Amino acid sequence: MKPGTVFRLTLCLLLLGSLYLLSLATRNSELFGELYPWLLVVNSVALVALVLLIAYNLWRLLAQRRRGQAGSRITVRLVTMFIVLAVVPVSVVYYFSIQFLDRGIDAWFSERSEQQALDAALRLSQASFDVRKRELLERTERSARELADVPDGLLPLVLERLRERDGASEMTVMRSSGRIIATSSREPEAAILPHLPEDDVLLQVRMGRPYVGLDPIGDEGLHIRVLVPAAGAQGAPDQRILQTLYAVPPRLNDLAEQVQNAYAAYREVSYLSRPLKETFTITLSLVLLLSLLFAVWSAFYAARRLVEPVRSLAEGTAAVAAGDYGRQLPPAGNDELGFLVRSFNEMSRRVAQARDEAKGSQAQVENQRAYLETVLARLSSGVLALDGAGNIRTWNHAAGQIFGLNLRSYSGKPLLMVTEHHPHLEPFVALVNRRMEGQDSEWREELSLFGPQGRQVLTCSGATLPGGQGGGGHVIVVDDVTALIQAQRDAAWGEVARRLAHEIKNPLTPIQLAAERLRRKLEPGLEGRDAEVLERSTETIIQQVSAMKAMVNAFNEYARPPRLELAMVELNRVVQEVADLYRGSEDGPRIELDLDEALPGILVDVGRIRQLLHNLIKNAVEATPAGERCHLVLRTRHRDDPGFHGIELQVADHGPGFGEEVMDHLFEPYVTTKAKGTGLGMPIVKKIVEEHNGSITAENLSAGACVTVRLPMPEVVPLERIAKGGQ
Amino acid sequence: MTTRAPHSILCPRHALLVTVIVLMSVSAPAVAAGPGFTLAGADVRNDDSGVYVDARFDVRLSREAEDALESGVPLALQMQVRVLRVRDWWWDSELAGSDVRTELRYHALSRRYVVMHHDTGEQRTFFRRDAALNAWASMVGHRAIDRVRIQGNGDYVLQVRARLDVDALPYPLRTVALVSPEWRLASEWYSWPLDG
Repeated sequence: MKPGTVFRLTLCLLLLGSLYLLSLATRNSELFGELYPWLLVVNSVALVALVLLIAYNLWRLLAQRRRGQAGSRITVRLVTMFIVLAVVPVSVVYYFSIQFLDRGIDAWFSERSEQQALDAALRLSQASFDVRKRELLERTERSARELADVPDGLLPLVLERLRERDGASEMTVMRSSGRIIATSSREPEAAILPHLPEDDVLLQVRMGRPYVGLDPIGDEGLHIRVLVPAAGAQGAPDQRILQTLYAVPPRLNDLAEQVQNAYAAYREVSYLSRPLKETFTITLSLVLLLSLLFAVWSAFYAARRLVEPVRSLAEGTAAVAAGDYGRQLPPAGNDELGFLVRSFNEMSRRVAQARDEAKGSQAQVENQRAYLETVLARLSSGVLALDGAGNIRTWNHAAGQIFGLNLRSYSGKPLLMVTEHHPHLEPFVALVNRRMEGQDSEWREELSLFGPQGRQVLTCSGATLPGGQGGGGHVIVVDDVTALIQAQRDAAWGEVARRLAHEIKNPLTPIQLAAERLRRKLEPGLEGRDAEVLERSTETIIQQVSAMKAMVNAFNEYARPPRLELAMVELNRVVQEVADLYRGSEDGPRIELDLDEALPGILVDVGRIRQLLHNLIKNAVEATPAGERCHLVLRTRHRDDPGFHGIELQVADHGPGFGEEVMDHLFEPYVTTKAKGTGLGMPIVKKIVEEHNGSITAENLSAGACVTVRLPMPEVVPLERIAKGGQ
Repeated sequence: MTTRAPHSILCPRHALLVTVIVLMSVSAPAVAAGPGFTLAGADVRNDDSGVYVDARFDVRLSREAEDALESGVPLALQMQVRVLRVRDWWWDSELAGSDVRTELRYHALSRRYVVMHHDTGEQRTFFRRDAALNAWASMVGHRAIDRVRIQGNGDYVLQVRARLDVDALPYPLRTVALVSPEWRLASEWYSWPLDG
């Protein structure tokens, strides 16, 4: 049991005990009569305490109501209801009880005929005694007259006689001062101390007025006392007084006593009706007030107890509505409210569980999405997802790289918008639109784009995504196979070159030897013009065979497998050395150097780089129109761009530039516009660059052409290459 | 009756015989306007055997009490006498306590007031109410304490007061009497030092 409940029960019992004692005290009980004031005080203190408690509860409730605390409204309603339920019936009972008390007691005492009967009996008794008193007064006055001349000494004898004659129980003669002269009594022992009258009576008699009255004398019953002035003995200085006591006859005495007692009792009781009413009213009011206040106080308590689960439920519901799932309420007994609270707790627990599960699923989905994104991001293939309306939904980094644009800025926009800034993507967009409109759920197609990076060969494959409204759409996977095709082409060319060299080189030496032999054998036998013809023909054969050999060697060089001798070098120095070789001659190229001083060292095959530079310079020199001096700029730069970290080498000339027709096949063998040359210069350059994992581009400037070689500086260099480089 | 001012040590010590220690009356006569009891006269006498008190109180009944008396309700008076030993450092200790109880009621048939002394059983009747009240609130020769009990060293005080005995009222009246000042009729304690 809670301390609060124990306190209330104790208080209730104390109050009940106090009220019980109060009701006991109003009865005839000495002990509780003494306790009564204390009970009144205790009950009054309890009354004040209850009033204070109620005031405190009321203040607290109003404060809660003002704050808008959950459950305060229903508490106010319940308290009001309880108070009305307690106060109204109790007030009705109180009103009728008071009325009943008031009227009942009044009616009991006022409307009874005994009062009149008793009044009449008393007056009748008094009247009957008055008759007797007059008679006895006359008798006493007669005796007084007879005593007039009796001297004091004879008085006892005379008195005895007169008393017996008159039938008095006591006869006394005294002076006006009250001093007894003689007395005679029916009972001899009483004669010693006669029943003296009070001073007022003596005073009255002294003034000459006789006195007669009824006097209840102790246990001896009613007596009629008569005092009359009596003439003194002759020569006596003062007046005498004769007092005579006549006993009322026993039967009459009994009757008179009964009348007196009944009358006194009735008077007392009717007088006490008022205090009785007041006592009852006080007790009843106190009991009622205490009960009522206790009921009111209990109403607060009961309402609070009753509303507590409702308040918890309201708070809990508000908390759940605010997103605080899993809120558990304190248990609230086994009644319907308790059931409600238990149900709420169960519901809240399940909601929290469902939320946790949803969170888990979401996290799982997020993880999968992140996983897919990571996988997509690491794919070399570009992936592009479109929704049903053709808007860009998802893409990966590779897609942006392949298309050479930032797809993020087109997120959620139609794919068509891409062509506004990147018109070279039009074939791709047209392909996708065409395929999306078609019925095929999967497709695959190869596509060529001509963009700023040159010709790009893409293999596109698409599929319809599952999902209905809001879902669906297409996914397109794009692979840039330009490099692959190029590599295949290069490999094919390499194979052709190798086979050609092998097949051609073999007969060349016998041809050359045969021609030289022919000249040696025939030369001595011929003269004149024949000899000259022979000489010229054999010379031509030998020269062409040499040229052919050189060409075959060049093919060999192109087709041979890469074998790099890597070493850490300063590229500027290599460029400088190569440039110095061309500085000597007047008709040689004029080389201008534009070198980056802060160029870091790089791991390259120096011989190959020299060959690359020679080839490029030679290519420029050869491209220079006859009669002009070739003007070259060799430029080195250290690049640290987002997509490239390494060294950039540019060779720019002021020549006519590359022709449009060769631009696409510039780095393929036998592509040349020059009169001289094997057509393998640029393919070899490209091969060297690729052997160094670099890239090469050629472009026409406003004046001349520019070839840009980019050699990357990878953080991780393949081990075999470092070993071979002698590092 | 000889009356002198209270709170004064009156008689010098005589030999061993009867010594009137204190003879006094209230200095303030019974002029109090409110109902209650005031001491009208007192006599404290001392002899070999004990200390005796005579006292008479003036009575002013309240309206309620008068009504009750006229309606036949008997009124009980308690005249309390106690002897205290005075202690400076603690409450005074009560050596002896006694009371005199008298009852006053109206006898309707004879139209007289009857005063009865409970101790002696003596009953007197009075035609006039003031005479009856005087007899009701008087005690004569009440033995307050044995002489031997106050012969030690120390200061002794005799105290007297009169009060209407509410507990003797009929029970319906008792509740009202307890809450109503009309019924709270009591004199103060009147004190006289006793010469041990």
